[in-house]
Amino acid sequence: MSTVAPHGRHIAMAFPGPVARLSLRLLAPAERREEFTGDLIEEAESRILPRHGRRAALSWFWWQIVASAPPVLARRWTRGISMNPQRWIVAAVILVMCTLMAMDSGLLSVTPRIAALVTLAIAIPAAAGLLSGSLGVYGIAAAVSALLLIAARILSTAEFRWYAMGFMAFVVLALGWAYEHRGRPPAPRGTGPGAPA
Amino acid sequence: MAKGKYLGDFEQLVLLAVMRLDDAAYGMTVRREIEQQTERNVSLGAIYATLDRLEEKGFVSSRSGDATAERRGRAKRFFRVEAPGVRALQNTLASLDRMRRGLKEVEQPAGAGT
Repeated sequence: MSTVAPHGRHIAMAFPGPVARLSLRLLAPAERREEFTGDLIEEAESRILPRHGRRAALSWFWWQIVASAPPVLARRWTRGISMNPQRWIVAAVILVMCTLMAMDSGLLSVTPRIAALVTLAIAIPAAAGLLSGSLGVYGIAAAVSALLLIAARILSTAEFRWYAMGFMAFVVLALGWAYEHRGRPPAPRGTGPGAPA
Repeated sequence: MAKGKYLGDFEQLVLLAVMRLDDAAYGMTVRREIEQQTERNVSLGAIYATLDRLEEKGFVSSRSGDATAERRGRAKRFFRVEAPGVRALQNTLASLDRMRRGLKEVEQPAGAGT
């Protein structure tokens, strides 16, 4: 589909390009994504482009995406927490347990690079527990975390019980997921007998 | 009045812009109105985040508009200020007026009477 504007016949393909589309997908909440994207396209193509040209329109478009990230993500964060307070509990339990185990298992004696890897390995499942209720996201977080822990263990000359940290993080994640999905009825399928009205 | 019924600076600006725009208030026009009136750079994300918060509090309501070609088939979301929003704005502005009453330096808005 193309709209467009005097000195920018390529702009219809450029707005939004694949990277911008991905950024908008990650940034804007699903229920507002269409309006948000439509507003940006309308302003860039019908106001900025005719007056200031393609480069300025693209710069403006990207500036809007970047500048929008902090307020939109902060809003998503507070909204998610107010709707799912149990995620705070899951993330807090993971962080406290993992930090205690890291202190107990010799992490303080390793190099900063290894410590950074282990910290990431702890932070990723904690963030997943806080931001997501999806088993798929938990699985990816667990896999990334495991890879980081394995890399840290291979690169490290010091001994630390990395497996214990990882194991506990995954156990807590699994408990958190089970807690969130407790007693939830299966999704209705079809309209046959027994399907909810 | 309960603490939650007061508005922050940016919430006041957004509510005033929605009221000024009347039936034409959607994300980008609100952003543009604030930029033009306050000469301050505002991101669309800040507008949407604020409108979302105001809607959650019941201060504004929204409806989806028609999709248009200039937006490549994407609909607009129009906003309007509801009665609780008007009251919250009145209360916030009234408290500001009370606070500045008697202070010569700020009694007149900046730029007034020049």
